[in-house]
Amino acid sequence: MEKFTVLTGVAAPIPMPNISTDLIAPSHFPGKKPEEAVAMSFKDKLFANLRFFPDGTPKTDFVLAEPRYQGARILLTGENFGCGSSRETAVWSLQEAGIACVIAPSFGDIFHDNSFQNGLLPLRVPAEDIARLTQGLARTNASELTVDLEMRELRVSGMEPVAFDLPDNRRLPLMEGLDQLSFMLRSAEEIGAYEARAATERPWVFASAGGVA
Amino acid sequence: MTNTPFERIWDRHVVKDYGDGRNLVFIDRHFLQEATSGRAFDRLRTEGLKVRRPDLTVGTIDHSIATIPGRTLTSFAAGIARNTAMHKNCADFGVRLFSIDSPNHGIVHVVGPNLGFALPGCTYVCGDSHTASCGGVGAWAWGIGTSEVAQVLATQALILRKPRTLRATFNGRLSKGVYAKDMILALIGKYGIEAGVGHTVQYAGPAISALSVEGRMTVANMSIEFGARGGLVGADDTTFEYLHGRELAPKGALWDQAVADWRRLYDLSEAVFDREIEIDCSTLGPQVSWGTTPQDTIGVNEVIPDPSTIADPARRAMMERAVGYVGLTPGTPIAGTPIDVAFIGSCTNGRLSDLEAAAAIAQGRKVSPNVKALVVPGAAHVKAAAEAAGLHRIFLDAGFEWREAGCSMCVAAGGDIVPPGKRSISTSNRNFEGRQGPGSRTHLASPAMVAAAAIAGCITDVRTMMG
Repeated sequence: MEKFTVLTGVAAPIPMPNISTDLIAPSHFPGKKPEEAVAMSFKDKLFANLRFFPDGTPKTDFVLAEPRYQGARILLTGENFGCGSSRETAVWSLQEAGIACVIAPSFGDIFHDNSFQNGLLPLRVPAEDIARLTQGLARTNASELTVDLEMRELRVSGMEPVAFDLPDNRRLPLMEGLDQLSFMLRSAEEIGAYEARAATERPWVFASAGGVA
Repeated sequence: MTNTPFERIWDRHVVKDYGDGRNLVFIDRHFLQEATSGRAFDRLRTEGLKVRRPDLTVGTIDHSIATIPGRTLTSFAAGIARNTAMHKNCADFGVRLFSIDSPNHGIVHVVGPNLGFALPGCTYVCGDSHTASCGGVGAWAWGIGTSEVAQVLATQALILRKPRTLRATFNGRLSKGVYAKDMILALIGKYGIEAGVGHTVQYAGPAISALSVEGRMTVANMSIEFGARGGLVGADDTTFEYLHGRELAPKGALWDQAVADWRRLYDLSEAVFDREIEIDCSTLGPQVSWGTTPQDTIGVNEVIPDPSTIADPARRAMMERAVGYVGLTPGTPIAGTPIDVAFIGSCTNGRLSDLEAAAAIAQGRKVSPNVKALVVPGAAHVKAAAEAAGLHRIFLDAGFEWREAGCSMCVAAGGDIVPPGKRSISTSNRNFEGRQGPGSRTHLASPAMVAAAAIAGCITDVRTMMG
């Protein structure tokens, strides 16, 4: 997993609450058959129902279609981003499209965890700060924002930095680029000891399991 | 929180405390489905890893299949690759698979409790956000992403941060025509779709105790629409009666030992929760969603809310967008809104009692000629039981389609899709923009309400059709 320390990139505002993982990574694509949609890249399906009318005609007013937001790395959006379905394709779609950080007042829990698993930063920032950052960005031509995990602040030129909170148990693994599965495998022996203990303490759980074994 | 069932379950599953807020937590049960496990198996292959506990792992195929009668694994072209991969993955890694030819096939969250694979007090995960359904039998069950599926396959554990606890107490008794679905829609409508974020919910109170286990699963199913990854219903005699003798439930002396443990686990007498909320069921009528999140829910005899009366600008903007998307006029009654599609099924409401409630309304009546209506049992065992009881004849005679088990139109799966601009009333769980297909408009309601709307051709108070 890539290390995330300081990210500077174009930040695009999508000021809409409750953008579900269905909207981020739809299983269908407007105007296409399911078998055509399933063959498309995740990147091409990102926000498809916000970018296209149901018949497949592009919506030219969608923010990511605007020239100034081409190559966006950061999204500034509304509360409860990534609510709904557990599909990790929501994270993969954003990453394939170049998005490395989503800034929102709140997130759906599963999307929030899935993002950290892949090194995408879902950053909780109060709505007032997001509004100020959005205004600050609108005043510059570059639309660039810096997310600094070391300093724990967001920077836009011409503005005071905006501090953010992120617990070290989230921040440090991102900065190290630590893959969680590799980390967990170091605890294999402790898991084995737990299994032996649990088999005597809760025998009904294991004696009656379901798999082929 | 102190002395909550959740805390007791948590404590007995912690393998290791990392000391920084993270804990390694053991997973007792892992159910795989084909749509979210492919890349997880790929990861195991890449790294030469095995499935650590194939005895605690089972799989099924529910999203990527057609539900038309006579379907095969290849009937839905877009699902063939996933279905083929699921068969290969389960065979290669020694995981028991309930494919479409198995009597145990079906939507994961309908199959798990029916098998007795979901048990009170166990940690239970699946790569699907509606896994909390299994909280209906008292399992601590939650949905995970594909990275986490790989982690559970390889280590039988997950790294978690301890959630807070919230008790949602449902007081009073349900009146006729009001069901478990109305209870959970009312909760989300009153408190919002983010109220449960960061919490494990304990569903409690007399109206929960009075529900069948299937009704409890409907309530727990929509925990994620309330923002919570997991939600528990206390295991009690109703639960034990439901689980006793099921294929994978403990037997003999182990069963007795388990029940004694489960009773202690779910003793709520000294429990203190981080947050307490309440719903009065005695005044509750049938609910129906009007907008684009389950929070946008009203009673069937209410009017579409007017965004211009809302003070909070963010909520107002959201409601304006929702009203525009669904194509309804603020201030007009929701009853009488014409519908094009009626869908009965899903992990929320695809169980036998759901089909019975819908069939009671459909019996001797006809689906409106303008409505496409389908009944998709949640699992093969539901379909078999419904057919044994003759429910399929009632539905077919009324003009409903009678399908094979699968996720179907809930998530525009398997070729079952609501066309652009068309309006569906659905027993499923999400009315998000585009959920049932690009441009689809969805109203969530109970199975009886959906059956009533299919017959009337418009959203209707089901109580007017009950004797």
